Amino acid sequence: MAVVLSNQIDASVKSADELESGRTAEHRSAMFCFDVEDLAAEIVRLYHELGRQVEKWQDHLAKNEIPSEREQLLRLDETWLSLYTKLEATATKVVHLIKYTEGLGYRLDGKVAFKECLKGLREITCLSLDRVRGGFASIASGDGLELDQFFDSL
Amino acid sequence: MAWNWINSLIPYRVILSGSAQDDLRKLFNDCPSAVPFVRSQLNALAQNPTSLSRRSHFPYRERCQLMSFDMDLDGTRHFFTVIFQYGSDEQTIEVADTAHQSRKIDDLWEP
Repeated sequence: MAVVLSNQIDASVKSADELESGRTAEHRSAMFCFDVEDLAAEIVRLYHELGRQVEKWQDHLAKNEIPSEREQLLRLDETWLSLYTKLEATATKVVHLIKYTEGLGYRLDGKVAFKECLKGLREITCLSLDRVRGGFASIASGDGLELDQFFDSL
Repeated sequence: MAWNWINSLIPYRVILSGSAQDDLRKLFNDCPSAVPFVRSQLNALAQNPTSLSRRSHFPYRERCQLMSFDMDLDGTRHFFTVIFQYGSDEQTIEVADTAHQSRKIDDLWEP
């Protein structure tokens, strides 16, 4: 399923690139606006689909108690994160396209859902898996500092 | 975590991981005026983590909570995402990481 989603995300990247490069020639065309709207909607759909697949993966992980299989499943986290990162980069590109079409006087449907999706993507991609893992490990090993102690030490 | 009325009376102890401390130190070196705001947000989290956070969707859905907040300073909006889990003693909040992003307010995309 990660392969299917990866290909779908690649297709959205390609669409964003093509729309970006073609905007000067087609900027008067209403079709351009509809294409941008469709692309924004596709990104929202992919974001939710990715979320569903990740939840399935997490459910599998929670139920699986065979160490070797768990190891394999755990390694998928980097795959999911790379898909989220690619989708976030594409969504950021689409923001510029939306701003451009709005500058031409078009109003896009689905903007609120797109903005929510962008916010969710940024919350996911701003966190590094290694840092989160390392952070919990450091607290477990006693390297954490209480909030007041930290601020007093500044 | 089940709602506990004690939540509203006794704040949780917030423990910052080494990387969370590094993140915040770096931010405060660049932007010292952010210190009181960030401190007040983390204190608010200690008082009321249930209503100020939501379950983390990825990658640690089972155990983690996310809290987000932002502040405007000198034409820049700073976005913070705090990822934490409740300690096994149910009296502590363990903050693994505090991600920070900033964007010029003029570049932000508003409705």
